[in-house]
Amino acid sequence: MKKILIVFVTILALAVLVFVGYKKLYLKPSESLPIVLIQPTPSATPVDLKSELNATVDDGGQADFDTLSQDASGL
Amino acid sequence: MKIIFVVLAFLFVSTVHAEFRTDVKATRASNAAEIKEDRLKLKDDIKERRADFKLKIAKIKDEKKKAIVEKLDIRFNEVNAKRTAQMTKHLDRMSEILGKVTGDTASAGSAIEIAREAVTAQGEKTYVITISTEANLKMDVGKVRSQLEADLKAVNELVKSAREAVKSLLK
Repeated sequence: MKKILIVFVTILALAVLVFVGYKKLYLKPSESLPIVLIQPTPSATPVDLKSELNATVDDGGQADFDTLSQDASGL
Repeated sequence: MKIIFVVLAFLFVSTVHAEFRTDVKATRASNAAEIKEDRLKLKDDIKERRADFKLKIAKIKDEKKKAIVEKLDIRFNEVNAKRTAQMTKHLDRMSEILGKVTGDTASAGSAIEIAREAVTAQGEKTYVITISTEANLKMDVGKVRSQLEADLKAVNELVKSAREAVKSLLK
């Protein structure tokens, strides 16, 4: 019984301290921070990646082989 | 009793592990030595062929033909370097794309690595024209040109396969 009373008194004391602290010491923000709009950067979609992958396609060096053939034609 | 058993088991496992590590190290060392030896042999062979080329090119009387052969001898290796650099760039890009893809990327990753190894090996090759006679210059040059073209096309096929593997993940 005594224990319950001690716990009850402690909780009550804490509640009073929190309430008084909030009322007397807590300062409400007078100015709000500027609102910044954060726009999410678009993540790479499969279509983007496909076009990126297509950029790795080339002629396999055919132009170079043709030039070499032309250069050798003088022999 | 239990403690003795645990200690014995630990000793057994650590002994087997140490032996296994020694074996792996020895195999790696012997492979590395073989690769080094092969590379040295290849370098010597190229040196020999280069010396032979210089000797034979000096004997060609037609100055115009001589200039063309000398130019092509350089151009073959320039084209090889340019193409392998380009393919490496493409493979790097594919790796980056693969990093952005979710799902099972193992086979595409392995295709890229196979292509990368082939491209690196191709980049290390040196092409030297083997001159037989002045009359056969066109044929001699043509042989090297065809070899270079075939080698680059073969490597390019691996790059294409890697691209297809990545592409299949984007569908």
